[in-house]
Amino acid sequence: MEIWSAEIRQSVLLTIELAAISTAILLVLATPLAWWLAHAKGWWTEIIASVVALPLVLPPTVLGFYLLVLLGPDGPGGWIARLWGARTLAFTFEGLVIGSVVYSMPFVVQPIRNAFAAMGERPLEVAATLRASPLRTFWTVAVPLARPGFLTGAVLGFAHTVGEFGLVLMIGGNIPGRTKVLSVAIFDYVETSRWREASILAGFMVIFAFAVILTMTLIDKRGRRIAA
Amino acid sequence: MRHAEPGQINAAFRGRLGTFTLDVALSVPATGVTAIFGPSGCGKTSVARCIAGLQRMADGFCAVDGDIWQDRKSFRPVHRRPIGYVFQEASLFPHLSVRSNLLFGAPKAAGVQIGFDEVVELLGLSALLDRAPNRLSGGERQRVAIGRALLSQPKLLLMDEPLAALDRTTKNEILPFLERVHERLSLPVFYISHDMTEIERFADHLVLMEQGRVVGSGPLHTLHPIPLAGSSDRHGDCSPRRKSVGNRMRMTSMPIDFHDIDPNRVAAILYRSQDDVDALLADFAETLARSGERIGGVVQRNIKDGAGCQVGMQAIDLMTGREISICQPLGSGAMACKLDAAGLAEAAVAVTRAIAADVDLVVINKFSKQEAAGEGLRDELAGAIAAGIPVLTAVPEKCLDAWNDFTGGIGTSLLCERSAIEGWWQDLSSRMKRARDARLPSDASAALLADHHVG
Repeated sequence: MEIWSAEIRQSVLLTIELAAISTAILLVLATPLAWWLAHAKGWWTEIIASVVALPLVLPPTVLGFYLLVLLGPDGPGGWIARLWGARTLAFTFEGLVIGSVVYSMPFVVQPIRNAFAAMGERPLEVAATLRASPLRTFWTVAVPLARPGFLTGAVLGFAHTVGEFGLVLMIGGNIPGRTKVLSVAIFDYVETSRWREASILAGFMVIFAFAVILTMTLIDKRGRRIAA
Repeated sequence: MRHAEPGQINAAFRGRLGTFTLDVALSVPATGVTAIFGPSGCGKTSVARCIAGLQRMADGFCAVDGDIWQDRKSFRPVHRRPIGYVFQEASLFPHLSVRSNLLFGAPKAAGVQIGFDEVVELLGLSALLDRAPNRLSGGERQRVAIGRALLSQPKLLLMDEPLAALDRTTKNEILPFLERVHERLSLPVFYISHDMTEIERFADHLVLMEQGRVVGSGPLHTLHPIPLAGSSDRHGDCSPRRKSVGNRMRMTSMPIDFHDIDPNRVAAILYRSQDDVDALLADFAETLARSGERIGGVVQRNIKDGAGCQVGMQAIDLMTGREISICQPLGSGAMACKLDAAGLAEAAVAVTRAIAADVDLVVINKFSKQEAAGEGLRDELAGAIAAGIPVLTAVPEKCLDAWNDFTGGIGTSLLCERSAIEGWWQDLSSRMKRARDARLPSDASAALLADHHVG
């Protein structure tokens, strides 16, 4: 049996696809949320922040259970799925993306929020006195200064999506080519005593995780050197 | 002042900022440099921030040259106000080069009041353009910040203590640039400072602030007396009331008549320790030295930490403005501090140099316990007195006997209350200024000191 079998390749590619799409959606959603959390002053700010942070402490099965209800045929997910003739969002790739986004949200929001908060009001005030509109200030000052926060958020979001297991099992099932991602595949191989495949995938995960973190660190270091 | 006038800057802001209440109304010409002066925490910065729109007061009005920026109904956001704002810290964008920082607010369209090349030349920035902000010195950064504000083509330049975060050498390096900016551009400027010497260098118009209120406004030369920079607790009793307290043994009559100053020209101000007159004398001498009077000597000041505990002592050479020494307290919990041997040696050099330069007045701002015990700056005082130059010092009441022993009874010792001395000094510094303006001989201060009448 070859190392890179079609079955293994499929789950690796599916995992990367899921993580990449989830991370992109996460960045789009988390950035305005983090900006709002860093600048809003009302008492409800921390309530929203706590809701966003819930997946940090909730067991993935609990989260998965609620998502299953929401995405299932009788929940909002089912109604949306009916728009294109499907019955449910559960046990689909789309449902997995939604689950990953919810699950990984705190890991992306928190570093970006911290980065926005750490720069303080001064750079934004300076930009405003130089006639920059709030939108221009955001893109030309806030985002570049919060770059390390974005990098950290993206790495964490990507890595957590790659590594999630309980949630995928609850809402994704184990459908090859659709929801059978790496972590579930490893579990599957172990259960069916296919140790060889399991060790190939586990080894791949270790190398991949290491490579991602190293790359991001190097990019960040280089960025700092250019800024310095 | 809640209506727009062409040629004027009209502003009024009222409201609470935390525990602080701001209630200001001002109307100043929309030309030249208007200085806002007052002690720290009096609300100067809040006024500038309100004018810029960085701080929004619900009850506010702001109009510049007839153009309304804020009134009851409308509030123009910061980025739509044609202002330049120089913050106390340069606040350059760390991710942009000097050149990109400068160009950040520069409009793309032609028809500008000042061009890039002109700003670079004016502020001496050509060698810095491709550097990153964190490779610049503090003074260079502030020059870039000023250039950046100018290039945004403002109609009003707000400068919030632009030199306060810099050391004295750097300040002196930047001041000429600021003067050039003010000379070359016909741009109205709000210059906020608690340093009168900066203000005197370029302000045309002065707004005095205290505790969130405007207490005076007018052309610079008409506004006197100026309160000494420092704590606000003094302002409460600045009345011309003078009275004698305590031991009258060497006093003639009250109010103090400085005709009584001995021909030997050694004047000591006796004070009760709670009046802290030695610190007041240090303020006074430093203010005069900074304004260009020929004063020499050494002033010592206690350094206090945030909680008000004494943590050391600082001595300043009045002629050079140099800090001589900071030393540690005498022991744990001890309230008194003193200079160490190296500090004393440097103080001696400072006094000797002042005597050699034949200054008009030598100030050594205390003759206290250490001097009474034959230590401290006793020899320096003796040297200055022996040189025949007028000497002014402050002696705590309890050291009067030691002082009399030391001087052999020559000179004048006057027991004064803090408020009386303040009134006299304010009057004296304004008289000295007038004398200087009239180009009197340089020994005017000595003459004034000897001739001055109070009351």
